[in-house]
Amino acid sequence: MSRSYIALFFTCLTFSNPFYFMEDILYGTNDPKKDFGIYEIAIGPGTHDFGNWHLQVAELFRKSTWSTLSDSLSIISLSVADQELPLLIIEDNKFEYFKNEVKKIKRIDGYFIDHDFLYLDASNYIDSAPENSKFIAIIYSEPIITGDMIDQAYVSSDEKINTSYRVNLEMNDVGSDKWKTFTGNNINKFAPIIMDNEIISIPRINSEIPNGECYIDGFANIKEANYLATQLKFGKFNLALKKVYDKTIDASLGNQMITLGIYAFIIGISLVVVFMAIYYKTSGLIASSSLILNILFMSSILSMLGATLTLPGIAGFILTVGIAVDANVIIFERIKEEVRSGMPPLSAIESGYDRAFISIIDANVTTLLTAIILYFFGSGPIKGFAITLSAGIVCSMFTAIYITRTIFNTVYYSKVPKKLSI
Amino acid sequence: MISINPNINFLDKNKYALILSITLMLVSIISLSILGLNLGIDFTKGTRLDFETNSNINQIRLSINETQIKDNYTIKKVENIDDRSNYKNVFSLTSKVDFNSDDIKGFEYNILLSEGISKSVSDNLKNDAIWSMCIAIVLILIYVSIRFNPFFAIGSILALVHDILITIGVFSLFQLEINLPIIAAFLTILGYSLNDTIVVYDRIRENIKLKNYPDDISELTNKAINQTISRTILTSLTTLIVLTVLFFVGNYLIKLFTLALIIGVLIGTYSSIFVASYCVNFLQNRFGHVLKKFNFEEEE
Repeated sequence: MSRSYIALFFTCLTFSNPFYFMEDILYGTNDPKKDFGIYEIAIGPGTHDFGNWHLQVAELFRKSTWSTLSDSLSIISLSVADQELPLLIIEDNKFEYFKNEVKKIKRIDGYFIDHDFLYLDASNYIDSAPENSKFIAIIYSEPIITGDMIDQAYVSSDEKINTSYRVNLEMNDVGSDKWKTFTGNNINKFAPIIMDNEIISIPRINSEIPNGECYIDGFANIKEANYLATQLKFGKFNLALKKVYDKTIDASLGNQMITLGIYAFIIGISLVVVFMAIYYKTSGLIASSSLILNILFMSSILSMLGATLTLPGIAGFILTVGIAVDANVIIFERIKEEVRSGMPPLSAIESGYDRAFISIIDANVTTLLTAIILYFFGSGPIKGFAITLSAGIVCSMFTAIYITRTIFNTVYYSKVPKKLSI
Repeated sequence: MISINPNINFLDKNKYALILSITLMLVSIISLSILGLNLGIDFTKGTRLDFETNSNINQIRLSINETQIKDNYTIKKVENIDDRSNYKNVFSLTSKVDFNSDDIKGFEYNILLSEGISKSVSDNLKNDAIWSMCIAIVLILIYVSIRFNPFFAIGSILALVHDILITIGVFSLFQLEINLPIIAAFLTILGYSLNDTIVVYDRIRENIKLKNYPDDISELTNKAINQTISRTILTSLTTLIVLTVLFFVGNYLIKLFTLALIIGVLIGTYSSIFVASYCVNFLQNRFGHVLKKFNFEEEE
């Protein structure tokens, strides 16, 4: 029967498409974001007095108020070009603590106000470093090059070695001037590129760059290079954006909402099914099965549209359960009436469906009208509500009118009952 | 067979219903004009911070008074936690002024939710919500006028206004916060109440078409209400079942929202029985000569 195939199709869709569950209120961070930019290293790899600086920083951390900090650090020597450089190494298990303490020092005691701490993987630079340990580089908080100064960023393959890729950068006039002075003064130093508080690349400056055109090479695969190029390109929009709305929800609360939502939904639906079964007996069970199908259809449509289920979305879902049951209630009450007036079971079913049809259409079209208006004129969560509601109305009309009737027909046409179980 | 098949004279009891409705609406209007609405930051701009903590409200106030929002904030306890977390209470802090959660220090807390909304967004949200409601009401008026007749349209809109006004009135009276999800709840009520009303209307129309009616318009209306009362109650019951479960299972973010829906469903059911049909009945009796009669016979 073609109707069952349609139902099967939708059911498959539900399981093949993941259903987005309140994704927008799930995860987030509370870290203050650092805008995109290329920064100058004050203390770190490439600066000439790196070792001295690190000793001074270590001395500073030994101050009585911060002495616990100094415990989480150890000093390792790094030999660079016949020179022994002492490096401050943070062990992995003390890293989070150290980070938080530094934040406090900056905030409360006012040290390093114009500087930010970068934590670099020590093993990339020093062979003898303990596994997972980090060492500190300190950068100036003000970026040299900001996103709006970058005109172009694209990937090309290295001319000499075909297996290597490079990311090419083109800057505008302002950027070119600053970049020229900066690179001229900082040859052989590093220039970290930072976005959202994360180092996305830390290239070394090999020579002065006069015209704002340069490249970062040494990418072993094109994916890595493409990633950086994309970051550089879209990083430039960062400054044009102004925060107008933000919402962050702790993961524990988000998870709790999902669990509660599912709980409430399952308990609610079960109670409705029990209620319908008691009140309408067999017919109630038929209506319940159409209700469950309806929920499957709705979730498949919503997952196809990639809609996110938020609080208003849940309202739409509940209203839909109400409406889906409602259509069946209208039909069943009609059938009961016909039975009371003495009609035989099959004609009662037929007449009940026919007469209820107009009622259901009128009631649902008005609600659908409201939903459509909300979609076009509403914003944000209201739009989501409208989508859920429209999907619900269409699905419930289909299941309540079409599917239940198919079941009725299948059950009763083969064996005509004397009395309806309704 | 369980069956609801009453023969109640609803219109007879309508004078009580009328008194009740008018009283409730008056209370709502008075409350709205005196107390106003407690608009959330969705509509006023500002920042909201929900956090869990073991500190008490005095400690928290002391800490907040150290920051830039000291004269400009509200804080309330929204939930007690039994399990899940190391903390006992959840507080919600809102301010019309933007603030940085880093500034609040001096007690231990864990941020559950933070939200910041600028003026342009909150204005947009407010305008969109009002506009969409107005347009929806006008279109419903037109659709019902075409499918039924203008009296029915006026009746359904009056019922909607009645439902929304009373629900908003409850929110105003108890100074419950109105935010975007609550607006969605109001819209749900709108759709729900309309659905209820239309089903009754449809029965009135059908009875006229089948010439299966007493001549008296009041009795005609009453018969339709009686014929649909079992459906009206059953549907409300199933919806209320789902809502009640959500109310008791849900956390503080969802409770208010569910409450709005529960109030709305109750009032919507009441209004489709007593308000909408009564309006049609009243208009038809009073101004029936303007439209002459329900002209459904000519349809189809």
